[in-house]
Amino acid sequence: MVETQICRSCAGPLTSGVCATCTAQEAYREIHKDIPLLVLLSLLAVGLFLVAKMMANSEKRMEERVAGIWYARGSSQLSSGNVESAIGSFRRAIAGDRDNRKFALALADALLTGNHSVEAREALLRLRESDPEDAKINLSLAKLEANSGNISDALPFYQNALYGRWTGNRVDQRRQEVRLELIHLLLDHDDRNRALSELLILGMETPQNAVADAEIANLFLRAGDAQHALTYFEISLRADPRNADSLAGAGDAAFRLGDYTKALNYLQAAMDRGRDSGPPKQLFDLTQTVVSWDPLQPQLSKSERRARLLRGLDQALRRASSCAGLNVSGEETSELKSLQAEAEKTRRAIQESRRPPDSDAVRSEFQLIYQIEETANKVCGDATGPDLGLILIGRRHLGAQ
Amino acid sequence: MRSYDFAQRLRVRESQMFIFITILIGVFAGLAAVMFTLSIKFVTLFFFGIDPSPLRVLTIPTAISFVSGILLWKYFPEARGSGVPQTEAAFHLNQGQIRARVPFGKFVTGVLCIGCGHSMGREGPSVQIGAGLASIIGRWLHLSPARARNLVPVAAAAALGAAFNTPIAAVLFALEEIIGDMNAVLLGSAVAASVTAVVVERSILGNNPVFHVPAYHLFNSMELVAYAGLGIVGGILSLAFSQGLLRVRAFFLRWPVKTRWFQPAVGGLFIGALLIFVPQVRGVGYEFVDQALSGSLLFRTMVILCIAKLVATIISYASGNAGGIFAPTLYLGAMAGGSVGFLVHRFAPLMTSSPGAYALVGMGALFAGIIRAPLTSVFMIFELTQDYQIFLPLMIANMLSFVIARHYQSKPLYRALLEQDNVHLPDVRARSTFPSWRAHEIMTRDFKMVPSGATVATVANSFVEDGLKCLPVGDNDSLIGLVTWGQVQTAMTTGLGDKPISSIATRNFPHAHSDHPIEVVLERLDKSPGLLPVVDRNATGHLNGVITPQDVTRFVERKWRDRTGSTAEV
Repeated sequence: MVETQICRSCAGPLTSGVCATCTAQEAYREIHKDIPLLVLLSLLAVGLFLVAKMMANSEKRMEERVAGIWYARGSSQLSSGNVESAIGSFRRAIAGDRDNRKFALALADALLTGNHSVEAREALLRLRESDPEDAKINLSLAKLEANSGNISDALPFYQNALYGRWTGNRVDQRRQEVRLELIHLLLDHDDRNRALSELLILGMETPQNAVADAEIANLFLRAGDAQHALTYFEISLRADPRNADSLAGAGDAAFRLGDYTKALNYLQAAMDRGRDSGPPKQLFDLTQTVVSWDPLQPQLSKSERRARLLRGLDQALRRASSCAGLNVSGEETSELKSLQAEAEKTRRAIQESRRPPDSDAVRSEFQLIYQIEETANKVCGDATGPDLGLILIGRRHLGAQ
Repeated sequence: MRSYDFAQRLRVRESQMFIFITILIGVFAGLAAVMFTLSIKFVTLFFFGIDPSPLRVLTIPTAISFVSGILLWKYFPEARGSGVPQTEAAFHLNQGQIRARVPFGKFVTGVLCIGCGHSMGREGPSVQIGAGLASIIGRWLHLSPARARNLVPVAAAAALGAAFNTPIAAVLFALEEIIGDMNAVLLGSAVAASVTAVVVERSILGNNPVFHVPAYHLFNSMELVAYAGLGIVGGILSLAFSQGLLRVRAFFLRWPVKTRWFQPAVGGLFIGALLIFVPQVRGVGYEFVDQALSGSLLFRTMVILCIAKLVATIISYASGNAGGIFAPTLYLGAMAGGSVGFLVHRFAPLMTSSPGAYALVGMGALFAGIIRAPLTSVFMIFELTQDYQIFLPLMIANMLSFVIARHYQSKPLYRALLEQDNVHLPDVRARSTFPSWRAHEIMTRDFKMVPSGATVATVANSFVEDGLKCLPVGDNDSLIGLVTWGQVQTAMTTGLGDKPISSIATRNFPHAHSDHPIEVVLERLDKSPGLLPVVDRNATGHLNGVITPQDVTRFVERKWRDRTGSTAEV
């Protein structure tokens, strides 16, 4: 029988004189002696982490401060017209503070100003991705698309800008400004129906104010809605009755509505307040012609009616003669000549007659004047001055015929 | 039973400890990389302010490079350059041992050099700092040499992961570049450390990507042709960069050794002058890479920046400053790619991606061509974009760039840089663990070295007396060249007998290292003039022994006798 050797330390069995348990324990202790060092290293790592975190915070503040300086520099460069330098400065500002939307927006605006439209669009779209309801970004995108002539792309951005989120003060006023810009764009591109619907909203949203009402009235006028234009001009004039522009505008609107007497009054007032040249003056002269040459106007004396009719016939014949003198051949020319002959006959008949014409006769004789003017329009181009006045009188009374 | 339990627990405890150490290394490497990055930013702002004057731009790089040059010369010579080749050398040749002062020296000189405007990257230094810290920790914990060595690539992966915020690419870089073996058993440890380091980095700096890359789209399969063109441009540019760097560095290395301390200042002066005209090439320059990626740089600007960065990086690195080539490589790639993209997009705007997409692929192409880590480059760009669509164009461009660069310059840049410093890394055959007879077993240490000052006539006598065909020339084990009996005879007949033997010695000759297997020894002996010097990998001038055909025959005879027990002649 083989005697088993016993380890003196742990009383375990010895194998070839070596205690496996003690050897393992020794190795275990060898490894564990490094545990305090590992703990120390872990503590050192925590300490370094805190230092690094402090450094990072400090570096972030420093970067933000530097970015702020670049932003301010870029802003002043932009305002002094140095767009390319401003773009560079804004880029540096963004490099220092990437998350700052104000910087990104400033860069996008500078890129827009500098006609870097492709890059500006990308920058704005990136900004919009993170906040689709930001009204300012939508507005910038709308302007960008509008400037590039992409009206159909611009309109949704304008709508987003109108109904998006604005920050800061004067939110309603900024919305009105955007709507106004949109209306101008629509009118520039002859989209009158959309412009009119936006104008109606703008009119409802805008608080009563002489200047704003006059502006809305002018836009209604551009959009072809003379009735609303006149209403807004009159509202504006209630607050500022002496405003020459509003008076001229109201005269224009009333003229378009065919209310020449009202138009004449407004235009006269505008002339009295200094608008006595240019288009208001021309319109005033025309309106005056319409009002003072109209033989079909009610409550005229018979002699006055006869005088107006003769004046109209003379004017129409003058125009027919000058037109016939152009030697233009064609169906209209021969028609004009026959109308001219008829008009001369009618004039002689009126002049020779001692009795003033009755209202039916005046109407049929004025019909002749109107026909001459309309035919002359076809042969010699659009009428001006008293001839235009005669056409307008004709359209007013006979247009439906 | 009790002893079995202990042994089991011991094994479990040991592997648990190594995992814990790995994670700890990841934390330290991550912290070091973060602090290094932050310090560079602080120092750059301190040196240059917001809007520096031309005088300041000229003097700061010169003066600071002068100071860092003295530090590098006197205290931290291993801290010159990138840090990646040094880490590779430490791993392959020095059992992962890195002197304790190296990481600290690299940190200080790296911050000074990059902060003062040198066109260099922070990733390479981060790798060396991380590896150095791992080596120190390994020594403190008395880890076995094998374990301590393994910590080096693990730390390198962690540091790179933290410096570049791409954990997968960092692991691949450690395997592909540092270890040189994609099947390395350290994959798990490298992943753990890299992920830890990235977590540390993100918890400090936030989850911000290094670059803000554009969304990638491949518009048309024909566009792949354009990417192939980019790959060719990338290959040519990689070659220009590598060749330029090696030649200018060789030029600086030819200067007397005593001028090393002010060589960085010479580079600093050049960089200062360049920065006055092209300030965009200062330092790491990632903000301009970002601009190229967002397509906000013009074609002309990108071309100018590409050329200026190429020149600036070559001068900064070759003059002996501390900093890497990782970031400049990406910068060059972005500018070259952006330029190509700009041209392509100009001709077919509706069929091609934005110049930013090309800049992104260009970064990968240059990385593959210069660093020669194609897999890392693919995954790095993939990690940046997180978009599978980019794989195909990226692989086409990368492979073309890689193939062109390798065809015209077979040695990867990091390896070539090490060889300029007389350090030869083992290749695959030398690293092979397959049992084979090695050069150190065959070589004879008892050799005669001819002093370089000896006259040709004296050496001729030695040849006659000893009946040798070739002799090493050098002083105190420092090998200069080889001289053959034929060369000596020719010199004697042309009346050069009184000239020093060094004047006729061959300086370009095949050599072997101690770990080379016998097949490499025989291959090189065949190309040698009859004598194959065996030199140190760490210092190729140091002669360990020589091998002649007779030595090989004697060795084989000995082995034959050992195996058969025979005393007979073979």
